[in-house]
Amino acid sequence: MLYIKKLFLFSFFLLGNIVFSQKTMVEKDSILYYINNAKGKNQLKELQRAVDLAEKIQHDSLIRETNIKFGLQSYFKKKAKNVDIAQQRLKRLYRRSQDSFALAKVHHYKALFHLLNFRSDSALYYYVESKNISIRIKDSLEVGRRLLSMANIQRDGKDHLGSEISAIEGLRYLEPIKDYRYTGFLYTNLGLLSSRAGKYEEARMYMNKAQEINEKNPNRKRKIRARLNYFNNMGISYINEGNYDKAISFFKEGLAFDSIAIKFRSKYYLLVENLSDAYILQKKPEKAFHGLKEANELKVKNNDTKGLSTSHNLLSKYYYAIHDEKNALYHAKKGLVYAKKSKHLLREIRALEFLAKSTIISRKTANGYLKKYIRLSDSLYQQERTIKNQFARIRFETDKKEKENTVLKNDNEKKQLEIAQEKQQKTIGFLVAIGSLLLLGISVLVFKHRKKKLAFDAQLQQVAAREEERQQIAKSLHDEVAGDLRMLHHQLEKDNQITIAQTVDAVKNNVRNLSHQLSSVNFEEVSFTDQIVNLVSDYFSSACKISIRGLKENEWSVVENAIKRTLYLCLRESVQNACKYAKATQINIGFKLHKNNVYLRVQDNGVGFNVSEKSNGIGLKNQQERIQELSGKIAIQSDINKGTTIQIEIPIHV
Amino acid sequence: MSNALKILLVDDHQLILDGIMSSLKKNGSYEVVSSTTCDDAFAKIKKNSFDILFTDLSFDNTSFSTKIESGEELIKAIRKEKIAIKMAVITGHTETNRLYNVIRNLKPDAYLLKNKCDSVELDFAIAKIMNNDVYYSHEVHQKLIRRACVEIQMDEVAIQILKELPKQSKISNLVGVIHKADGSPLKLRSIEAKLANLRIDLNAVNNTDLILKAKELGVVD
Repeated sequence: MLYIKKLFLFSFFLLGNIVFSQKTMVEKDSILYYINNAKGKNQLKELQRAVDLAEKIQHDSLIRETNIKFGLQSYFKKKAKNVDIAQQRLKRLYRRSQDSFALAKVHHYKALFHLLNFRSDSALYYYVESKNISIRIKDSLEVGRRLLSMANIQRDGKDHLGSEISAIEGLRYLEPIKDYRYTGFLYTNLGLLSSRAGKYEEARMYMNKAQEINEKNPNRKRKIRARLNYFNNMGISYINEGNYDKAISFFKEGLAFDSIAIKFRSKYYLLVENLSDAYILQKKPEKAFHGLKEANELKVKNNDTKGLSTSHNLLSKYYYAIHDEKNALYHAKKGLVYAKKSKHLLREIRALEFLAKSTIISRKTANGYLKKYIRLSDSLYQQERTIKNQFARIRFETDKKEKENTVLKNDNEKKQLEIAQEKQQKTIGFLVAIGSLLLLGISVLVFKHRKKKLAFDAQLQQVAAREEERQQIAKSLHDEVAGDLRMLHHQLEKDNQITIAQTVDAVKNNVRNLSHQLSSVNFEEVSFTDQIVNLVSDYFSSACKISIRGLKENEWSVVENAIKRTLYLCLRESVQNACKYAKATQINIGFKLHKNNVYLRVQDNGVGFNVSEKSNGIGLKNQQERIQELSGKIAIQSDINKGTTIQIEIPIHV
Repeated sequence: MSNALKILLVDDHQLILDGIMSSLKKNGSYEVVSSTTCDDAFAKIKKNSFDILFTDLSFDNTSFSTKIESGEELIKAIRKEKIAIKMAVITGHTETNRLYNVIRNLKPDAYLLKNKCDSVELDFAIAKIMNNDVYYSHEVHQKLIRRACVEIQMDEVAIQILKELPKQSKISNLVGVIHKADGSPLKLRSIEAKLANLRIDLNAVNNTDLILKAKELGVVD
């Protein structure tokens, strides 16, 4: 039962999960659907819906993507307000997520917004900003695209040098990443610039290069569009050069493309109008009219302000060529109106030129237009200069900012270096402190060790001095006291006082024994090992067996004589006690020689004694004294009838 | 009297000298000269030829002008001069340390203890000495054997052999039973060499005697 319950719960949980994830999945799917399938009339509405959905599920990357699409399409549809909305949404996203790509897009769309409002200098400024952010996040494609836009704006503003610089810089970013589309545009731009500068050969070289690159573009539609552009641009360069036949052949080649009028309408008009222009310039205006008319009608239908100004200008040119002054004037005026509307100076000036030309017959008005043309031409020149200056200033300021940035960066690096140095110094200081502390510690230890060693040496000397003293006493006992006793013994013998003489002799022998006991053993002639064996042998018997361990196994030459003497005397005392007084039948003697200490253990199975009782005899006291003189320790463990164990530990070094 | 052995007797006690001389004269076939200092004795030996020297070890009558202060030094001096003379120690020193060191280092022809010494022992010792043998008093022997016992006690291998030998019918059976301190087995030749040394140390005539002596002396239980 329990299992089933669990299973049920589990499946419920799983189901809930699926449902939930399905919900978000559905939303994501619909966003993607909107993004990918938004086309035609409802494109913007669908994109708007995608943006709303993305904002609703708060999916940052989807918010970014949808807004970018929405903003771009809005720009193509010339909806400046929508571009601004997209820009603001991306800015909010950036503030929330610190996504630099979004920030670059914010600046990009600000530029687009200004472009739609015909403020090319502001647009240029924001393009530069956007570009710099993309450089920082190493997004080469975006950098290249912004530079292309900049180059185009600068070219339109007649800042040919700036345009060229931007284009070349753009190529630096795009060529390494093998982008064909924008690289082609950049070369085209360079070609147009050369063409304007009258360097037609160079221009066509650039255009051929652009075409070469475009042919590599895997997107067929784009490839074709670029190819049409190429024919158009080549044609224009030939027009500018005065080679109309060649120009016409290029335009015709472009127009010969299969169903171009349906598939690539804007290119079609461009080619048609330029072809017409070429015919007019070739003094064959009759061939131009049909195309111009068709283009004009469609542009009216599409409300193409820019295109209409060109179209009317060309129509004016055409009517002027066939000497229809009335129509020429009409179209020139219309061209002027649209040129003004599109804020396109070049078109405006061209319109005025035609206006002046068309009214040239009636001199009075013509004079007025001519004056206006000249004035406008001048003002155009002035405006071009201001724009160029503005562009130059933007460029300069950007450079300056970059330089300031570099300076700030350098300052920062310097500061960081200083901090690092300070840190390093601190570490060094710390290490030095530790080092000194260690040194101090070692010095103290060495000092202590030395002090200890000196004390130890002094102790040994003291022991040696005492030993000498003992020897002196022993000698005087032996030589003087015993000698005197001998003399006394002789006298008594002579006087026949035999009993007294014998007593004196016994006393003399006792004194000599005492003297022998006092006069210490000398380890230079007979080794310590032999001395110990000899000593033990004096007490060994079948009634009192003595075993020795750790004697021959050790190297006794490293041990000071004073220590060995003490060991010898202590052993003698202990064995003597064990054999004579404790009546032990077994004595075990153990030596141990370690790095720093020598140990002696004497254990017997004798009667033992009460350690706490103070009357332990002069022998034991002497032992303790001798050991203490050498900073050693002695431990006696004994109980009545339980034997005695004496343990001695003496340091052999400091 | 040319056949009589010439003996030089050195002791710082005139009483002792008199005693020993009377013991020697019981036999009557020795020509005995006495001296109370080593320096005097050494001069006499260099001057006249003696067959045997009997000397004490410690001399209480030394002074600052004394050159040879002890019996040990006297023996060394004679050895140094390569004088042909039998040298015997007759002394009261019974401490193992002294007698062991004298016997080991100076190798006297005899070591006698004067308090236990009588004319019979003296004659016996002189006879042995002149027969190029070595004579030690019984107590001296006992001391040396005891010392050997202590040494044997410290020798793990010797103890093993002494313990195992009574259990085996043949010495060769001990091979593989007796081990060195590092655990490796002792070879037959090493066992036999060890046994020979033990017999000498404990003054045993054969291995059975060795075991008996070892037990008697308390080397093994």
